[in-house]
Amino acid sequence: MYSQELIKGTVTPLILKLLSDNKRMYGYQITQALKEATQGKISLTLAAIYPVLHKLKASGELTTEKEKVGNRLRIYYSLTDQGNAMAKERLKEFADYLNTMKSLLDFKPGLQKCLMV
Amino acid sequence: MPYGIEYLSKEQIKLVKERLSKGGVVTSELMEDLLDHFCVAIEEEMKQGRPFQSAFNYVFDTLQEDELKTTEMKTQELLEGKKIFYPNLLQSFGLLLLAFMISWVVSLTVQAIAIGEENVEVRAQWLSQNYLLIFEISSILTFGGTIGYAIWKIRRTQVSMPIFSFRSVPTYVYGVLLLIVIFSRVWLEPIAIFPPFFQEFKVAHLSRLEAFSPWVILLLTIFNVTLVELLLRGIILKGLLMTMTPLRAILWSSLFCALLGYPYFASYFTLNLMLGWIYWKTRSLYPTIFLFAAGFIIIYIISLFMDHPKDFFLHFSLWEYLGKNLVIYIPLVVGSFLITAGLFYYLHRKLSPESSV
Repeated sequence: MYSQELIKGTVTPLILKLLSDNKRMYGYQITQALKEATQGKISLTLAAIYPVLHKLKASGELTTEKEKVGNRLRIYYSLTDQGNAMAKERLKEFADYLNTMKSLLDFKPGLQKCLMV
Repeated sequence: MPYGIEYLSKEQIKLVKERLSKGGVVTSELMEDLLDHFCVAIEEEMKQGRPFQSAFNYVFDTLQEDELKTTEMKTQELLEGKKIFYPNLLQSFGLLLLAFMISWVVSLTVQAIAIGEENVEVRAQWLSQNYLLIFEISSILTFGGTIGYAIWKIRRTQVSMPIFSFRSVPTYVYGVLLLIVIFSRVWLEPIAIFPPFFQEFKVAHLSRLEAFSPWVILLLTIFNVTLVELLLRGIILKGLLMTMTPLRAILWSSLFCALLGYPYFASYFTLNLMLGWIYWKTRSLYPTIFLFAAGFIIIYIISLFMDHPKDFFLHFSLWEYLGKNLVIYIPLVVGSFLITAGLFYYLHRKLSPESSV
């Protein structure tokens, strides 16, 4: 399982990705979807996911619908138009970042030389 | 689903809600989210055949310590821009004021108790006999109360991080600090005579301590030094370093300590400049407590070899020991100051920039 420190900056893009692939999702569903898609390597704590969902809602990227499930309410999150545009931008940025990290970590004689100095 | 349950009952949901409230969830929307989250998780466990209570315990037991409270705090922080509390300048003044108020109330209480005795001589004797006890109780209530309040404020905005920074520092740092303590004792002595109008208070304070054994005074001094460090460096300077430049933060925290340490304004201010710099450079309370306490410990150890340990411990003056000879005294003071400055420069060069982050 990856450390929470490593996952920290990736929570927002991951949530945006899930919501852009699925029309709407609720909190528990998001945590389970991440766990399943990554074979348990990414297991987010409550403190990593719910504050981000509320922040994205407050800034207009997400909208919510409440639905009665049994004896309680369930909050479904979905992307707004603004959120869709942001998701595309953030996911593009995230993919670019991953490429940069990959090229940094790949074996390169020049870089190795720098690190040895 | 076994037991014919599809969803949790209203009573069961109520129990989950109570558990979330107990865990620190306050924001209504977060409560709705988490209520559903935990209900689903419990229902999933019940699908595997667990009864409600067992599923309930299992799901909440898998939470990390303070996870609910942390989720609430982070949500508030992101929604309201609410930041972790550490005192800024104004709040530091507030803490200082609180310390003075506690000290004042304790002082009034002691006086009220003493006034109960009509005979003036008996009253003075009572105060004198209990001087150290009164002094210590006042110190514990003043600093302990203020630190307790600050911790309560900080814990309301963050729950997981330790409040005080106790990082380990390289052993050589303590060696250098010991040399700094020895040399600074020499040049701090002439500073300690300022302001001269408080000399009478100092003499009265020290003469009252004469009734007690040096090691009792030493132990209590180290205890008090730790309390001062927890408040001044551990909370106030840490907070000020978050909101202003290191130089200003160190200056302000030194001023606060000088005010708290009356009548030793000038020497406390100077000593605290050194302590503040050490804390900023190491971000650890170990070396600052060491620097502060070592001064007293060294004098105590030397006093053990003297004919009159108590006299030496309380009243030793290099100026008088040297027969008030300026020709020897001034070079000693200037020399010890320059050596201290050199030792600080050495620490500045040796302690890497990373350690001050």
